[in-house]
Amino acid sequence: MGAFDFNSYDQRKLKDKLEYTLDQKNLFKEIDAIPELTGAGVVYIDHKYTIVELRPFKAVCRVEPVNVVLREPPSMMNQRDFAGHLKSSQQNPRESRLVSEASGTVLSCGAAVLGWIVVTGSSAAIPLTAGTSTAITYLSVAAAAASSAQCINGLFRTGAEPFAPQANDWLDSQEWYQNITQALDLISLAGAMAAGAVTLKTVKLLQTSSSKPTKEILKSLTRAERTRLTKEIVRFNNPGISTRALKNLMRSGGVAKRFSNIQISHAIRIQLKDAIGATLSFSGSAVSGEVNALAIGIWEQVDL
Amino acid sequence: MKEVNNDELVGLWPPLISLVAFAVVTLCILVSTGLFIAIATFVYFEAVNPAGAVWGGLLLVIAFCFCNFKVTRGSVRAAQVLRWYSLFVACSALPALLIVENQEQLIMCLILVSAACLAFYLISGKSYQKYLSHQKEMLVIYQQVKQEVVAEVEVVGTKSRNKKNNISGSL
Repeated sequence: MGAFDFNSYDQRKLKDKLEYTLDQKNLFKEIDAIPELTGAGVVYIDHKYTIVELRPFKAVCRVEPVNVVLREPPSMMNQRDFAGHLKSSQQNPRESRLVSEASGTVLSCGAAVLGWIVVTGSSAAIPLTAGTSTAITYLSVAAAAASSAQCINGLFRTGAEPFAPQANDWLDSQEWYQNITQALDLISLAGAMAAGAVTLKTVKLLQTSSSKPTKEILKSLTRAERTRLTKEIVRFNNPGISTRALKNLMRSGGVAKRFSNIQISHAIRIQLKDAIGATLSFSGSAVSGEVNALAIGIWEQVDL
Repeated sequence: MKEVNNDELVGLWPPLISLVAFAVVTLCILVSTGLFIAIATFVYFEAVNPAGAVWGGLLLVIAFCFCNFKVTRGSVRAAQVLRWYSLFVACSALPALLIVENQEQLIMCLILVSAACLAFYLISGKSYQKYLSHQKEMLVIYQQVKQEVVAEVEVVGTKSRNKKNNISGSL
């Protein structure tokens, strides 16, 4: 038994009327000619909101039911008002898209600002991150640039909503635009992965340097531990250097004997910010970018 | 050029207020650029196809990132470029305030102009200039230390080579 099988007097009357006024066979043929709508159900709603099912849905090409709805203007509404009503009701889903765009933009812009703060500190972190900060600087610049591009893209899309909402639909339908968004997501992801790897490396370095837990290392270090940590860092910076040469360098003042707690904490904070920044950037793209396209793929949506 | 004292304690981070100024300027320029592209495309050029806007936006992003990176390395010239750019954006958006048709569009224009003006004001301010000078100083100190370390490593390397030569000569 279908959803519209219960026939009231009005429904029977409407069905009889449609037998004469509507060329149903031709209509079904035309609908079936559209590949996406083959087997679609056809529903008719008259001006008194009487609903009749002209044809039930048949799972020919798709499992999910799809219906073509034909609707008359309500009796108390003229054609122009009805057109306006339909237009505004079609625009309602766009409001939720505006919110989605805006939230994605906030995340991307937050990630961009955080990314630029990381770039600010990246040069200062070079002596403390075993030289890897030089490479990380380039990656963090790339991640910050990608986040900036995502931010501007999000702002453009948010700004386009009140001016030309159809522009966003057009952009979403373009392959090259999707490719660019994907590339930006990948760059942000690369930044996140690199930042994560360097953070792990630094934490490991700290753990090998002291028997204390990482949290305590970040809070305080003894003088001996600090010196040991500094030696480890300089060894990382100069892999071929011998212990004797290292001592000579320290004695001559060529390298710092020890870094202060504040310097070490700052260096780790920079990397943590980098990691969080890149993660935020990924979340930003998850809301409005490539990852969102995957989520949309799960839903079956038919625009009529 | 000012002599850099290696014994002087210089914080890794610039003062918090100047870092905040830099972050706010970055955000304001991003906001004003994104909205400016939208308004220029749909209000001034009345474009139906936004492809040109996307490519134009990409070029602007690249230029902005280049300038902002230079700013993080203490470039005063790059800061001036961003300053005049934000003023240009603010002035360019002013006519749109009179053209727009509804409240939403007006709000977008007002956000754009406010963000651009705030960026212009902050770049001219003391905090941002302090940030620039700090970053410049950090870069100079880092370069100096790097050169010294390289020189020391070379000296140690030369000494050990000489020692090896002496040993092989005596044998």
